[in-house]
Amino acid sequence: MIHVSFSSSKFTAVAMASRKKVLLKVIILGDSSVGKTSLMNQYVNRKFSNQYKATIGADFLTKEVTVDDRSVTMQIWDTAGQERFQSLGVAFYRGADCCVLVFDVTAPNTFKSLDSWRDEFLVQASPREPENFPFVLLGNKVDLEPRSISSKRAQQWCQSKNNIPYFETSAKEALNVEQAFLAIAKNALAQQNSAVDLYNEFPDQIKLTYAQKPPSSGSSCC
Amino acid sequence: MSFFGFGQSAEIEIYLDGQETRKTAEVKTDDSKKERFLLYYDGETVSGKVNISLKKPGSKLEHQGIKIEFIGQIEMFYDRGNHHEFISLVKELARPGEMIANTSYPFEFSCVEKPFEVYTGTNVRLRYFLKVTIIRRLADIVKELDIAVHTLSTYTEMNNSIKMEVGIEDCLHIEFEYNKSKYHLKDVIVGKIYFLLVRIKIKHMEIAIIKKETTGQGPNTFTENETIAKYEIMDGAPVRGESIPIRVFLAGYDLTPTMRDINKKFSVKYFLNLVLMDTEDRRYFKQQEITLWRKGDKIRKSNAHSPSIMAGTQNLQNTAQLHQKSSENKENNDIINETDQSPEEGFAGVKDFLRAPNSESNDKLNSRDPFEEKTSSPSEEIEDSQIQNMTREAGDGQNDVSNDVAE
Amino acid sequence: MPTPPQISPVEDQERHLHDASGVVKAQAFQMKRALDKSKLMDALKNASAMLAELRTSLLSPKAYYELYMAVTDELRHLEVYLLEEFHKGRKVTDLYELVQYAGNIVPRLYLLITVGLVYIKTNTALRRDLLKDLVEMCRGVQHPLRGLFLRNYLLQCTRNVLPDSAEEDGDCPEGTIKDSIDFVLMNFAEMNKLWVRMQHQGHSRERQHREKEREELRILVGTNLVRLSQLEFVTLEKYQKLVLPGILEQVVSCRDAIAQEYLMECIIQVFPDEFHIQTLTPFLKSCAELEAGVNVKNIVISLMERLASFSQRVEAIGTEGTASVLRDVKLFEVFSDQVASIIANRQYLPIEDMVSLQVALVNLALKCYPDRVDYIDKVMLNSVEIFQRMGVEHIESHSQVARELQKLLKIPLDHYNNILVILKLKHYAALIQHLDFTGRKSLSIYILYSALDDETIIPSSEEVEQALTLLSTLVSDKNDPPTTSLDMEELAEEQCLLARFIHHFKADNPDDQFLILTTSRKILAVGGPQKIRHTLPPLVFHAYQLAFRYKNSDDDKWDKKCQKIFQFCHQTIMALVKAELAELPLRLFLQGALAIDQIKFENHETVAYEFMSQAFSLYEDEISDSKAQLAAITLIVGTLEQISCFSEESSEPLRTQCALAASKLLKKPDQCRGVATCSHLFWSGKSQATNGQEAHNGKRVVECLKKGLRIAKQCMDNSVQVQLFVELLNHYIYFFEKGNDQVSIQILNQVIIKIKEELPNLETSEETEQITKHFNNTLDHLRVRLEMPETDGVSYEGLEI
Repeated sequence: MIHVSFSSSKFTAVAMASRKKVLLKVIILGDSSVGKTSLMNQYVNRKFSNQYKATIGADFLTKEVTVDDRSVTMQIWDTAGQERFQSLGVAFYRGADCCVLVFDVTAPNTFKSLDSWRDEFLVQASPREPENFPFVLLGNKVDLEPRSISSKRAQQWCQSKNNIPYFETSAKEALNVEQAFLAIAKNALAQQNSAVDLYNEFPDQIKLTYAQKPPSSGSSCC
Repeated sequence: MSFFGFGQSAEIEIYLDGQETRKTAEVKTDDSKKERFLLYYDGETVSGKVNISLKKPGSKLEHQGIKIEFIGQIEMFYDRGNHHEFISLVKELARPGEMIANTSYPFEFSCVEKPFEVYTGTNVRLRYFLKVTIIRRLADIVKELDIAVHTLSTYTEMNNSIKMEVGIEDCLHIEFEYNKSKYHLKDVIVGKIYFLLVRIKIKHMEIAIIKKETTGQGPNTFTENETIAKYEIMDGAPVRGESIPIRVFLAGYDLTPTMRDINKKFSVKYFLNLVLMDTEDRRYFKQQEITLWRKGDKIRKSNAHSPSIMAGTQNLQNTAQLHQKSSENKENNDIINETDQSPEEGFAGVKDFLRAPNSESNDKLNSRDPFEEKTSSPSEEIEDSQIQNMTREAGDGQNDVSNDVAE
Repeated sequence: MPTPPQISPVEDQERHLHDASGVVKAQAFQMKRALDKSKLMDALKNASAMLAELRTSLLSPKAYYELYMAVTDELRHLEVYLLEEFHKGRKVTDLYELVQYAGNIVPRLYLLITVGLVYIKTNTALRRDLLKDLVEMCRGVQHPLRGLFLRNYLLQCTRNVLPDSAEEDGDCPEGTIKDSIDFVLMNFAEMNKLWVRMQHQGHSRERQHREKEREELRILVGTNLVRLSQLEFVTLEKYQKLVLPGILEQVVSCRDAIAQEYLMECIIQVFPDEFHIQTLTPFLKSCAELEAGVNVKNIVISLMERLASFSQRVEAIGTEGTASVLRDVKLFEVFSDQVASIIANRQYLPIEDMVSLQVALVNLALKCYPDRVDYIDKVMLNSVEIFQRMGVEHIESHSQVARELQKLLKIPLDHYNNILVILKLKHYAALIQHLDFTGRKSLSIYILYSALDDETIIPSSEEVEQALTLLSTLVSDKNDPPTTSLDMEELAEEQCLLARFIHHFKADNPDDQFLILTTSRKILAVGGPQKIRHTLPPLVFHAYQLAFRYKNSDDDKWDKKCQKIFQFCHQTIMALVKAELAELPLRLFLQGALAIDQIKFENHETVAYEFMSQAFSLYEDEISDSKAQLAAITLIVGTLEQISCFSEESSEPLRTQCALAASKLLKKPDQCRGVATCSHLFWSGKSQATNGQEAHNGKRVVECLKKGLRIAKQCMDNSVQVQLFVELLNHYIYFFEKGNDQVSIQILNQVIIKIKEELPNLETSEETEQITKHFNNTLDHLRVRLEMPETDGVSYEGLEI
């Protein structure tokens, strides 16, 4: 289910290795009250509350994780599902390394909105290779009945979108949340590795230095 | 000093006691370069050895006597020949005679009075140096060695805050407060500006530290103003009731203690200039003298619970409320006397706040940022160790910059 | 003098943003490179140069936000680096001072916050003081846009480090929840001030533009409230004592409509319902103090809706603790009181908003307290009082107020689906009175449809009276004579609805039912001719039914009661007569007569006779159209034929009268048919004289038919003549087969011959075809009978076909 691309060159891997810590930016999108904030709180703070508080604007929490022996700081952006709470636009989409789409498995409308969330993200964030940009889909509230979106249906959607990884979660019961975010982190990391040629934008002797170095141990290239 | 290779010559070396361990201080020399000299304080004994080594071993050196002088002098740059020595002590090291071998002479100026601090300004320089002279018939052999002198003071008494209401009638009324009137060189100026009336469109506000160097007397008085630092403390236009914090660290700037009428030759005074700029680039400013002094070094340590880096904000709960309380008592409160001002400078509709039309462009202000300054200069060389010293030393690096701009 | 350009056209914006982003990218790159080399001082310089781009005044809020995002994303790299360095043991104190040497305040403060955050993370003992320092120092940026974003950065950075622990006695340098609350509230107050200030800067002609920009920026201010809501130790108690009062104080005192409206909405959205239900009074009190331009209605309604659905949710889940809180809070009372005081205190509140608030109250009451009809009534009363106080009457039907009021009035109807519940509302009817005629009428129709859909039975005279009062626009127009000319079709449609509704007036007890009828008539009778023709007949039929009920009951006074009922019917029908109606009362009288005949109460013969004679009078005096006359006489004859209660002295004149009337009809064919119809009176008619048996007066029958033949012969139109002959032939055959010995084969043969003679003379036409067919069918019948006579039937021997 988890696809981590290691197609990036060895050169990139070396360049990355020189930076001690990786910073990943993850955006959570989805209709209002599908549980975006709850998922983030469950993952970062291991807490859940039944109280409903609307999110306005966009805000992030950070979480330190280790992915494939790399220390990573995940910056997780929780966003308002209601458009009226996004009055300044969505500039925070930019520079995202992974986009998490969330729907409520008991609310069919939230599933229907996924396409527009995805499209909107691709338009606004304008990633370099939209077709390869990593998304992860979370079907939340699996603890609730009755269920209206089957696992199969969600998976079909994911397949049609270039095999997006899909997880069924419950923020309330902490079900699959950890696993989902680990996959998110891996995908984000892979994305950053492939997009790190940012360095090419500025001609600069550092690159030469790196280039002359023989590839180091290569442990990060599996 | 040998002429035409004749005769004997000698090299003089002045060794000061404890020079390996003594602190040094950076002092500006003539050509705006900086050198490090050993640092002495008032009343400290200056002692050491004068080592004279002969250049031609075996040959003797005739002399009319050897002396060492301790000199404190003031030089006026516009009057090069005329040096005013305010201290001149002489010790005879050797009577006239011949010197056959390298000789070492101990000397000591005990508890020597050093009333002033070394200073190099635009028009004047005050220096201390030791001068060894081997008196000879044709040409004396002379060796000078500069030392640095810092004057330490303590101001426990009467260090009132500066608090004043100023303004332009019906246009701008502000109250400003600096926590002290006397600051030591590593001090932090903490204060606030309280806006009582704002009818102009203010663009920003800054505090400049201005150094005024006055030399000469009577008709020959020269005054040089130099802006040591410009520090933006407010961006945008406040409204009535706003209170803006001030916190300026002095350690980073190239400052000297305030010097008043040094040996009747010169003075160096410092002013805080509060400047408000409106959207049409008109400047409104108010200058306020502050006294700078040098404090003994040992005291500077960070107090974990209220470090000076956060000075000023911890008890400023709500300035507006405080202001209201204080203004209730103000009627009979003679702010004017308290702040050491002549009556007409106080508030009361007098155009206390000077207004200078379009005096300086905003661009200059932008370039005041010490960080920005350095961005343009190649500074790849700075190593880790230097960075750690930056807090204290950074100012030195910035001094040049500030001066350059001011000049 | 040209002012410096504050707002640039779009393409300029893009260019400025592009340029600035370029610098940010370049400086960020240099910064990260310096960090890679551990050259912190250089990195700080790059960071400062990057941050200097945020000093711009050229960008719109959205463009500035983009730039801000780009910059702060990059600052994160610095933060991560510093954090690592300081975890390794580097001293952060020096750095906190160092960054304060930056000459420009905007870059300085961004750096200070970034370093401050690291400082806090590495040295929690200074947390409280550092937070305080940062929030205070930010005062230096008074430019609204730049200040808002700076403080947003502060808010964002401190999210993870705000002290979130219970308050403690004594000094706690790490800070407690109290410090966090102070911190955020202070930041909030400052941001709100900056935001409000935008409104007052720049040209008044740019106001719209400015307001748009403010709307865009509001989110930054609201984020403060989000932050407060995220703190775990902002318990209900803290919320009540510190947080909410702090926010409200700022909201009310800023005196800015845009800010107030948004922030109140924000409070509702970001804090949980569990808090709202406990703080309704202070929140709503503040609502009353908001500026005139604030749409308080929306705020209050939004809160009510949230709590209403919360209440339903709690009910569904059954969380006992919360449910009991909900019960204790008396949601409705609190809202009701506060809404009243808002309305009282806000002079400029549009009336439609006042009504909308009542709508929301009703919705709240229905959702949270479905069985408390008194709450609904209270709202109705409130509304009436509002209109009275405001001196508002006859609200024009297309106005906003009317729309809201209609909504208010329809909600309980839709909710209860029972007009009887509505009738329990003492003030509902009074409230309706504030609509204008059109409005009331459309509501009446709505009520009718609702009642009819629900098939609600109205079981008492009181309720009938109330219901009809609600429907007064349909019942009568005495109070508001319609200004426009009546659309008869529409009126008929409306009245039919009302008539259908009247059929639902049904009491369990017959006495009550009678009361209902009298009450109804009293009310309906004043409706005027166009209405009573629709509304009274159902009453009459109700009455007839009632009479049957009494007859079948064991009520020992049924007799008297029936008399009374028919008296009532008589009066009612007479009312229709007075309204210059004829056919309708005629039919009603006839129907009545039939009923009377069957019920047979004491004195019923006289009453039936009266009914019949009234019918006759109507026939004679009021019906002039010949077709109508024929129809009427046919009805009368039919009725009379059915009635058996008359004595001979009553029935004879009636029969004769019928025959006479028939023969006096204007047109010959009508006369012919009328007379032929009358013939049946003498055969199957019953009376006391015949002991209720059929009279079988064959002679009179034949006389009638003969007369018919005579009249037919007088018809000029051959076709009509033949048609009448065929019809008469059928009458003859009928009576022949019934055994009337006065009808002979001979007569039949004569008529047949006559027809056969005349039929070929007719011109070929559709009519002729019809007649021929009728005749042939008749002959076929006879032929069958002739060939296969019924065993005990009459014999057709001698018939010539």
